[in-house]
Amino acid sequence: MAVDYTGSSTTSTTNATTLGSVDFTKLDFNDIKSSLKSFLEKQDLFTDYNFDGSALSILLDVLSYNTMYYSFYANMIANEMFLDSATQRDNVVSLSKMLGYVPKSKTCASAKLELKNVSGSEQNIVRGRQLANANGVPWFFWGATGFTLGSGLTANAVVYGSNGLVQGEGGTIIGDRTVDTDTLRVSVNDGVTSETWSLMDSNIVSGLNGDDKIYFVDSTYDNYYTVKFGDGVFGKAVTNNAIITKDYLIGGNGNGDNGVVVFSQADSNISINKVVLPSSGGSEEDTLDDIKYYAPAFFQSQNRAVTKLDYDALIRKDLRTVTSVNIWGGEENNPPRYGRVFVSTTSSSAIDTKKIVDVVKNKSVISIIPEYVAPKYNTIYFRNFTVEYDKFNTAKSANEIRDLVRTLMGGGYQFGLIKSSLLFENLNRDVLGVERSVVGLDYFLIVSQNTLNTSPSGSYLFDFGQPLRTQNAVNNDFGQVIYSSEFAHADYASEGSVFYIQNGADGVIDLYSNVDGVRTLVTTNVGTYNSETGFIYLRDVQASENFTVYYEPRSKNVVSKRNIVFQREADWPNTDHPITIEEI
Amino acid sequence: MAPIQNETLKPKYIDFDLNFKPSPIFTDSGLGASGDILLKTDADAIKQSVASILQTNRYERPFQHNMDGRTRRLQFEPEDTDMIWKKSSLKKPNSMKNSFGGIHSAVFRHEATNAINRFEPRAAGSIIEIKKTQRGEPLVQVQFKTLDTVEEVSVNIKRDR
Repeated sequence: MAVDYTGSSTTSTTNATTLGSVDFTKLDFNDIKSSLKSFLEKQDLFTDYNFDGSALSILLDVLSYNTMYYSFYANMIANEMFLDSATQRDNVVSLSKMLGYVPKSKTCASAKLELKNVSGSEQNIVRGRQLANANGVPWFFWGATGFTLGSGLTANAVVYGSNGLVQGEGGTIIGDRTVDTDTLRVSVNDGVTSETWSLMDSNIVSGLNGDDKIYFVDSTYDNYYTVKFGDGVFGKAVTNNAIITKDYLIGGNGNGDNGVVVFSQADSNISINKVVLPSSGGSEEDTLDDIKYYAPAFFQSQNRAVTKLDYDALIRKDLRTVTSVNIWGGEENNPPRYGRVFVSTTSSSAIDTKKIVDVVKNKSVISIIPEYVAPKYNTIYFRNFTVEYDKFNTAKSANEIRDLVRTLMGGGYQFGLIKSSLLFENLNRDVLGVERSVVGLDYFLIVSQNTLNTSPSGSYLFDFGQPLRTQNAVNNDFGQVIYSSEFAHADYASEGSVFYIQNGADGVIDLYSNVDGVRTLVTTNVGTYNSETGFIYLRDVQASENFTVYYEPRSKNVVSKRNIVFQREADWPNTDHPITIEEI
Repeated sequence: MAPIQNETLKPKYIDFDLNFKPSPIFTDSGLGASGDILLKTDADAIKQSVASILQTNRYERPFQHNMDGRTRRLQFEPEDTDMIWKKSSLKKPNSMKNSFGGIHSAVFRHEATNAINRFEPRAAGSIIEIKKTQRGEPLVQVQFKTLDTVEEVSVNIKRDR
């Protein structure tokens, strides 16, 4: 039959139909088939399209299936073209390449062991020698250069937990997807000499010249890693017929290898005297979500550490066990230290803090020196924690409501991370959310810090980072806005055995003794405090033991600044300081 | 396609022939066949539809996995299951005396009837018989009346082994 493209027959009496009636928004099989049926309703050449057994229905099935197939295919193509919506790892990796990001490989955990040569002869500790077993994997020495250990002697060595090692692999493709690329060593033999070339960060080509013996590590579309060399302009090119060999470790148990403290001897000639540093640094390879998160962040940083977010992105990219990071400039420090950038982190397992500085020091601005600061843990004490509830609005008893609040305030509530503050607004919202009858919350806070070591000079610096409550509004039982636990004092042994400090007038700290409950001022002005910044500086407190300083902040909010990490009083609530439930 | 001149004779059901043979009748210019495919109309269209349903296997149609005529299963049914009935403590029902095969045939009749009722309402209420050819192959015979013409229609479906 002669039918033109609009579907109208030129020779029959069939009514003209137009493509305008086709609904192109339907993409599912059944919708497409319905749409085609609707289209066919406008003609009378064929009428059996509504019966599933008809030949026309079979034809519609084929057409619908084909249409759906291509619409699905087009949808998938569109999805896979964008980092946000891509689901295939090879596509995500390709898209991240455009941002200059190389997905991180697995990394082996490393530990420092003290080894002892228990054989009767010298032992060569060479790269690739297995020295220990732990956590179900062998631990290898993987130093760039080995060393000789005389009989009966001891030495420290760093070992890596790995599922195996590859030495002397040819070609540019790394043949194991679970490689730890940080352990890769590449040698190039151009027929005259064999040399080890250096790894370059993939994004940095500026400053390279054609003689630099460097290589890059890049990812391939099928989730392998590959080694790439220079082109003779940026980095030396590899000559034809050059032989490339690669040594590397295969990743171990990732995070599972961190924190290992027990290592068993794997070599009868080398015993393990002790574990100098427990294992740390093991991590899994990037997941799809990791790549989607880190690639844009990495691109924003442009592999340069300029802003705080740059530092954050670079550190998190390379050290995956890091759970929180804070960066602050030296001008915010107390005392100010201009030209420095301070970095503090918390981590799910121990990490080598030197690595944190290494990650950013070559990428930071000239004259800016990054420096790591260990997190400072401040303990928060909730006092007079009172929850008000409307007893006419609930069938629950006060004890049941107390249990709900206690569950909410369980050990990890909002604590343990740098930059994680305790805000009354959030806590109040959460407490009110436990039960509809809860209508109010009140408490006051005390924050404490411990001295980690006694200071021979008697000077201590405490950074609470919060404004101090005024003395006439003090809430705590001690009756002072700043006070300490008791300690022995070498300089005043004749005046008592226990001493403590407390705030005096006008921003000074005084030293008191406590003899049978009688508090006596021993000396004034042993330090100063700033009631706005929360810094307490003790300059002459010759405590002969560690002590704790307590600080009552002005607000119900405490904000994490610099390296302050809040943790909650471990055994709260307790008999002395319960959660009080009050009826209104 | 040549116009159908007499509207009163216009068939109600029009489908095309699944064999895709060219029509020897309709012509464009009188010089020969136009190449248009053959049409199936009314009872013929329904017969083709019933045969198509019964010969469809489960999961054969996209997104219509439950369209299943089950005739393929008959293909491998034992020709005579009297031996099975003899060994069985049950007695072969009289209704199955002349039927092909055994228990599976009964299941087939039940499910084939369901399939026709569901997917080809124009042949609802069909009577289905399973016979065997001289070569012992299953021959499915479906008899029904079309709703509009009350025409007695019979479809034979033979599965070659």
